[in-house]
Amino acid sequence: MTRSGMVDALHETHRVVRKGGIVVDARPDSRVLARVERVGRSLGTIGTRRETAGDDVLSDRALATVKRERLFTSLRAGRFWHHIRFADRAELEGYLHDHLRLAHQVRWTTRPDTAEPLEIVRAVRYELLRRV
Amino acid sequence: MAEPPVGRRLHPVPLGRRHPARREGHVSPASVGRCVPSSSSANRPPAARELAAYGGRRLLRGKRVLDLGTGDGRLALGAAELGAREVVGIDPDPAALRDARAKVRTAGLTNVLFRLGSAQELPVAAEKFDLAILSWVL
Repeated sequence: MTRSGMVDALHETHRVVRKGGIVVDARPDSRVLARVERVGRSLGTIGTRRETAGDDVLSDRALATVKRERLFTSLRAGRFWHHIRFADRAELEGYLHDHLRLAHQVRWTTRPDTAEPLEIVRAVRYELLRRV
Repeated sequence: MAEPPVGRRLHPVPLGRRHPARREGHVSPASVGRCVPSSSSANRPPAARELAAYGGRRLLRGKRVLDLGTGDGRLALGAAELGAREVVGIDPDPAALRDARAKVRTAGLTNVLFRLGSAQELPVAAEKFDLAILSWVL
């Protein structure tokens, strides 16, 4: 979405949520590198594509706009971790090959065996807002 | 939706090269939400896990919930299973909504509805919901 589209979406959300109701915004956190792990041990990191990082800034600004307009106030924010499992390195690299958000290559600190199961661990940020 | 057991092969489904969202990159027309294949929820967190982070049953019980950008209904069904009184899922992708409705029928839920629509023009009445979820939307 463009930034104006996001602000319009938030205005619409304000319209349809009752006064005092809650809105949850959640999306991948591009400020935190995704990790490739094997049995809880980090083997490398994956960055966020530049275009996506720019989109995330627009999302943040859209939310800041509606807070400034006093449509919503922040209740609390947090982060949780999302695990995506792969049978082996080839499957993981295939997943990244044309991913929209994540960089298409892993920065390996330790190269895994090709046949080991792996997982990508991504941060997801969320914020609960109260509709004013 | 239960998380698959450890070691079970998953088949991540990247967006196809011919998919409009892939061609256009990240910018969609201002009046239309971004369409992604319903299968993209295969690589989202399990609904119970995600909803627990926001407050789980305590947040959802008895509430009228809007799931914006519902896709194949992952969170809408999750919210219903955690005690929401009524759930409405909205998405601009008709194929995703077909999948979502099929899942609701299979689950036997009667308090979950899906509607076609964009985030900028919601096909619902004013001040109808206690809670709105925008997961992977903005």
